[in-house]
Amino acid sequence: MTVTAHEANTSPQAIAAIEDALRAFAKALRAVQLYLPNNPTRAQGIEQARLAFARLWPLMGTLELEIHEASFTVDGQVVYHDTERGAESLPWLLFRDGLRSLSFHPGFEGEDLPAMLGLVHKARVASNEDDDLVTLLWVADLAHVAYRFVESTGGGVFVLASGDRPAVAAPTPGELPLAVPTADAQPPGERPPGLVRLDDFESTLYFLEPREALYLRDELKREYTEDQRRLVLASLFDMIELQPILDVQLEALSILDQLVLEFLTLGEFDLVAYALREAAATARLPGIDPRAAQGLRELPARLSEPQAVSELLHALEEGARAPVATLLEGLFRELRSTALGPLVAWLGAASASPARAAIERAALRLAGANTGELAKLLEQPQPAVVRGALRLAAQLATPAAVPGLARILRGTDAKLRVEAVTALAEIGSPSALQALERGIDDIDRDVRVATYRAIRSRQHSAALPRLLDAIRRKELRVADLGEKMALFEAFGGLCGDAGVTELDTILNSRGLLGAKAPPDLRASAARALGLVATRAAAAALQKAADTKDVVVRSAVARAMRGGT
Amino acid sequence: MTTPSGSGGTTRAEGAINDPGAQKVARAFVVAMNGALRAIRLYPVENTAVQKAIAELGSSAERVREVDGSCALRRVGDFLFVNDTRLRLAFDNYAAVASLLGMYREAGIGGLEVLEVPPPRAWVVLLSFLQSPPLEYPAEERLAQLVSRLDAANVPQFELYAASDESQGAGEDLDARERARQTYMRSLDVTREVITSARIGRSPGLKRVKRAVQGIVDAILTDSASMIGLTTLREFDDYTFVHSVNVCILSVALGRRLGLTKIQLLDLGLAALLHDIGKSRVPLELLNKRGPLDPADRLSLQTHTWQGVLALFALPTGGVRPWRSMTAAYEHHMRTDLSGYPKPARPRTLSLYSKIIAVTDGFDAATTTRVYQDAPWTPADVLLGMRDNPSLGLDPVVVKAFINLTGIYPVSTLVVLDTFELAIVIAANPEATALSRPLVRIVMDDRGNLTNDPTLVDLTVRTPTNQFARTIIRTEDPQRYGINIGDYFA
Repeated sequence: MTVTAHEANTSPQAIAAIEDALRAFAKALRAVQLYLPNNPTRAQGIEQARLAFARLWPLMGTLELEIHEASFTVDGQVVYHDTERGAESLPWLLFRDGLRSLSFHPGFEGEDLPAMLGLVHKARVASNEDDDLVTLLWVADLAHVAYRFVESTGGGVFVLASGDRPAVAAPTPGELPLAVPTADAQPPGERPPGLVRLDDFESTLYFLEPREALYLRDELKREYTEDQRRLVLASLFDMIELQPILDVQLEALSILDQLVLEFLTLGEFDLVAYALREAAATARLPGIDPRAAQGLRELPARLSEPQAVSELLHALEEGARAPVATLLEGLFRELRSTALGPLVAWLGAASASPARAAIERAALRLAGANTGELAKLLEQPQPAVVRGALRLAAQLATPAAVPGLARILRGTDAKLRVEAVTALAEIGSPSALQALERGIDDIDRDVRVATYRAIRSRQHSAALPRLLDAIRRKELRVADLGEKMALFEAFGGLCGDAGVTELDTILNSRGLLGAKAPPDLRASAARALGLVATRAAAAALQKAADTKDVVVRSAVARAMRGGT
Repeated sequence: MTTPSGSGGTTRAEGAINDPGAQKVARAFVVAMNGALRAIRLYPVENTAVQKAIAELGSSAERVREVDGSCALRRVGDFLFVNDTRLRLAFDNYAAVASLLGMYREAGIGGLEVLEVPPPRAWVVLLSFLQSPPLEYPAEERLAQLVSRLDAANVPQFELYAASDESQGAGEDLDARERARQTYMRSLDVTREVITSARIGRSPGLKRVKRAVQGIVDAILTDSASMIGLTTLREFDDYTFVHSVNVCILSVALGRRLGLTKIQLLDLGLAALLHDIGKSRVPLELLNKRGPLDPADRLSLQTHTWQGVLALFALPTGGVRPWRSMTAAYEHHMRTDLSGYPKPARPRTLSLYSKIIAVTDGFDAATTTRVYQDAPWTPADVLLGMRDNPSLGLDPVVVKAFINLTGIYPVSTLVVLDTFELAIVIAANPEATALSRPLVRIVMDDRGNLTNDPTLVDLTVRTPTNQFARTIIRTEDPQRYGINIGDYFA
């Protein structure tokens, strides 16, 4: 007996298969709701749904579901039931958004099924103002799904048929559609079939010249590559600048305020930078109402407040992607000096954040434009602030930072003192180098070593007396070889012949029991004599050429050769 | 219960739907019934407003009976039939139709027939019962309950009957023109709501607007000629709303010709529908002012462009703001050389969508009777002006594309043929090369007689001697002949 299509659709076997498919769909939807895309449970749920739908097609040509508040029916038979109202109920979710029937065609289990799951999930979490499921379905334009929905009006209800997928050219992925598709003319009255090929499109602009067609294509491309938000921002600034009514200016300003926050939240720093630049420029125009000008000036000022900057830094840290340094620079360039405090505090405290490099580079720009503020920050009591400011000061090498750095050298944090020495060396001004000398007498070995090296690299001969004092100090005897070498290298690099006598004494003076100085000190002295490199120095080295101590002999030999 | 008569009489229905006389009478009856229902809902029965509405209803029912021999109002799917006349939706009746359809559905009835001339009391009883249907019963039992109530109230003048097959007259049977009309009315409704709400400081969301534009896009993609034909309907009082819908339709149609995708058409359509939303911030007195505008008025009106940007910011839009619509609202009068308004202080190049909307906006405005434009230009003259006058600041390539869309003689142009007949352009010729040979409807014969049964003619048709049977020799002003173009698209 031949089974009609209708009978096939409603046979017990078909009904059971439909129920299975819908249960599987609901389960898959739950999985999409709960798990991330890379979760195997989610993938499994979707796969089960695919298989369940694939099992339908040998039993029916199309699955036509009627949607009710709490159920789905096929030919009047309930195939899915859920009494819950609310976002958890699948029938209610569809019914609520106006859907009254869904038709699924063979092939739905391909790309359309996961797409549909995504759309339903999106509709489930949508707010009142977001697109509902009908709109989402329309935009998605699924090839194997048709639907009917109701539209509520003030006076009644219209039922509409939709999802017929009227013929329209679809672009090749990654390409913009042609402004002038080439196609054959359609016979009058015939609807083009559902299609994806541009060539099937209705006949059009055959008479346009090729350059005109290209022009339209380029214009369409520009339509979708140009940032519309920037155009709208320009419109708002135009209003402030050109419309004479203050209320209008203030309304535009209020919108700008809001937009800047929104763009910041989205990480659209170039737009924020553009807004701040335009705000600054517009505020300076002669015809602007003072109140509007004040509002414009307040825009970057508000963004520069510590709380706002902290929020920005927090957002950058938490962001999924590291921010682009150039975009951040553009933004930071527009901020006021009050933004520097929270920035350096963050730099001083932040560990290995992916955003660090970009923030530091951008902060450097801001600091460079506000060195006075940076200098003040060096004198803050919070170590993180000082640390951050130190880093920037070192990179900027600004003389304005010298007093602050000198203060740090008098502080208790040895690590900071080392950084201060480095920063002073980078600055290299006379006052910086003079301040740096204090490190010669520092209680911390690393500070002293950094100081000796800095003095040597900067050829700061004014420090020679203090270096000599350091050499003569008894404490030097207990210093490690590294420190001794650093000190003597600094001394030797600066003293010239005037220092040979001192060095000769250390290298060659003998007592009853042999050389007076310990071998490492003598070796350091030999090193220094090598750096002096005069005849007197060479003569002093020669005297120790045959010394019995291997370490000293080796150092002397190296110094005489000119090796380092 | 009787089966409604003429339910299978599609020929008669098709004829009746095109019969302006039958439509008019049917329309009046439906509007009167809706008016009476509202009056009963709002006022006590003794109130004169109710009595007046009931009297009007009785009169209109009698007129239907005089014309058709009977008076029945039935619902088939989403349509109302007055006897065999399927009521065509129009500006003055679509809300009433929607209301009656909803009432019939809720009451579980398919229709009612007026068996004899009912006294006013009978009407009051009937309408009261229809407004308060027995909802405590399942839908399929409500009809029987209503009939029982009428019997108990001793009101024998009416017969109620069940709904016919819901699928009859529903989407599948809906011809393209009717579908287009429904889409047009719905879009008009939405546009009116958005702009009116914006004017009074309420903030309707964009959801319904998007839905309306989707409907227009679907309609254009299915049958653009029907939708474009509807742009010829001109309702003076609703100009802003009608104009917005027309510009949307024309822009989407043009966009389709340019090969835009569905999503791009949605973007363009949304921008076009909202391009004049800034007028919600312009005083109504100025929008409706008769006669020429003085310079101050003109300047005030011109603010609707940037006012549109501010108005769009006030709309709740969910996750994404309508940036493209804001740009179009701002730019659509700027002109390609930026000599229009508003003058930008910052350099910019008009977006493509702004240029498209500038063309369609200009075309619709120039071809419409306005408060300050009693004699609109003919469509053909407008197109010529757009093509030949660069000072209008329109993109010449977009204008060229628009002319290709509309044909040299756009839909609704009244033309004189070389046979001395008068005809109205109904659609561009499907033959793409036949720009000057559209499809026309002959409305006046060579002797100057109006034709009652207008014939559709393809001007590319040739005689046996291979000459064109008919050729347009010039356009004409319809007002000169007392012809209302809209009647041929209604």
